[in-house]
Amino acid sequence: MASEIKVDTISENTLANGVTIDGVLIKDSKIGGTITIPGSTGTMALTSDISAGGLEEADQWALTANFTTAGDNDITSNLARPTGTLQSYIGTGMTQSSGVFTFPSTGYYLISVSAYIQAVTNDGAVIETISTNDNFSSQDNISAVIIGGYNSGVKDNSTGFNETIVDITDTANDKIKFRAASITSGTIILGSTNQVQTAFNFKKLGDT
Amino acid sequence: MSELNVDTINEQTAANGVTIDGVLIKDSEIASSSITGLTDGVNFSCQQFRLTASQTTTGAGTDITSGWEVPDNTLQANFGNNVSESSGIFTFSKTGFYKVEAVVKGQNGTAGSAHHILYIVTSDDNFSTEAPIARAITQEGGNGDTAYTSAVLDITDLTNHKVKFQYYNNSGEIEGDTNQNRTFVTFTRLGDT
Repeated sequence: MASEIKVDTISENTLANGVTIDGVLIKDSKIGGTITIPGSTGTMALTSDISAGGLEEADQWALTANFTTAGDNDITSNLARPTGTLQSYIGTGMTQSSGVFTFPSTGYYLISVSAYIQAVTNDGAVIETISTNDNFSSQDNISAVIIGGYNSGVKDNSTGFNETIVDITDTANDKIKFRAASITSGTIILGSTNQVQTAFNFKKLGDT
Repeated sequence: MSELNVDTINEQTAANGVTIDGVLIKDSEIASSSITGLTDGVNFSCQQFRLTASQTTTGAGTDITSGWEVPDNTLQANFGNNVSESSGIFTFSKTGFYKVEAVVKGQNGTAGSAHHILYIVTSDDNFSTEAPIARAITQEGGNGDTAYTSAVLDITDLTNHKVKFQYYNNSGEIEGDTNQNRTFVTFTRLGDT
């Protein structure tokens, strides 16, 4: 006769150990370890935990003050995670130092830039996404958002958007920074401590 | 409410495994018939295609039939492979919900009247008919400007459900580049249809 236990919840007895059921570890809403799912057309081996789904990493950094320096210059300061009502991030998050962004783990990431720019007449203000695979011994300008100043004689307020996918395989050397380029005197890339105006977004899409 | 605190639960009857509310767990395996919802996760994808050359035709909407490439500069890559492009037609290899995003950079237009538009165009009959469902539009005076649009699509027929892109220039051009994302599209598979 088959044995049967009637119970509403099965929880771990030993803190941090989870519950192992005939070889399958279940812990903190995840099925852990490597398991094989048998099927008529083959098997699927999982190499990491199955989680409840969703992004492992989603992080946003914003300019906290206006950027007005003319010319081509890296954005090296006044970058912070927004801390307003409900604003947050998922996972470990990016590490930022002097404008250089380091990734928390290897994987594919979607990097997007949303730029709020007041461009003077005839300016074409740019924020470039710059990548490196050798910790900025060399670099590559891989993506750009540009806002043009129209010819009305006044500053135009516009937002622009750009995004790119990168494959991060070496967190020590694969990094990102952003550069304000072709900025004419009088053009403003807007930043604020109270509202996201110009933002840099990072989403981890999956493992590399 | 009852609760069982335990480190390990093993099968009582050899070869039977342990069944929890209908889910059989045996010998480090979970019966495939009990697994649902995994499809979305393993088929998530995010792919970009960028224009490599500027589009200079002015006037009515023009199909972009060539010059698309996967961005390939430092660190750039696509994640997954559910969308492919041929002669400007984007085809899906797996049904599902997809978010399509388009960014256009216009430049070198006539001051004050330079419109640049990039349309997301869809078809449910392999382009016997088509519809421009979303547009990114910018008006700039010669120094460049970008615009963004997006749409969510339910792709249920891989033969007939397809996407292409059209552009319109009042004057000037829509800029492409082989080294930097300037005018580009992004396809993200969100989940099963």
